[in-house]
Amino acid sequence: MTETQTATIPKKILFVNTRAPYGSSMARDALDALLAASAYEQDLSVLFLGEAVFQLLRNQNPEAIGMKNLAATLPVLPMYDIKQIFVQASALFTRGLSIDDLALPAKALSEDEIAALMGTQGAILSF
Amino acid sequence: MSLLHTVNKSAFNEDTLRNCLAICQAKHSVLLIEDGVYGALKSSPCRKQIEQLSAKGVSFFALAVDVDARGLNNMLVADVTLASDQDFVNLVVQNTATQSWY
Repeated sequence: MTETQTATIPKKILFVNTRAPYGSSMARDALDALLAASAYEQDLSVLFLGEAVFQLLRNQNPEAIGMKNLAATLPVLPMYDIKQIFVQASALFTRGLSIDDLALPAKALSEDEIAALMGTQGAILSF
Repeated sequence: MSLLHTVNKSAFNEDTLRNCLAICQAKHSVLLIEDGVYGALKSSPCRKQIEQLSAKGVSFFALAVDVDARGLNNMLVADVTLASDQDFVNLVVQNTATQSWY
């Protein structure tokens, strides 16, 4: 296989979010990196672990604390060809949340399923 | 002596609120700010402690702009009152000192 051929095989890249939305810039950084990466036609997935499930809540209004609304941007992911959106099921449960509370369609995964997902990736970026 | 405690970390992944509540007494006020407001959720690991301390005379507040930012309106325990930025200032002035938990 030549180098040119190798370069055309899409790489599987998983973006792992681990932080709540506005206490730090990590959630926004992850989203910016994800949208930037979407320009390179790779096979992208995004996973929300632990505190990061709070990023997906509806009705966020962060304008008064001088932040951009994450929940308003996240629903564009499918338009950027990022259709594999996952959340940690136990993290939702612990926080009294369900899939119906989220601002975009996501698939809830068990810890075993998360391990399997991570195992299939060419690269994992954690935020 | 009246004391104001501010807490800015989520109760779901940090011990900050738990450590604060452990030393809270009657007439103290606890103001949850930034990610600290997650500690006021009905699903909060500190819910029982908040309700018990509230019954003993500890006042609980969550900064309204931080609650609204995170989409948590109507998801908080009844013992926690929403506080405006002006309320925050009033709490600081009314109490002898402020202990910041972060």
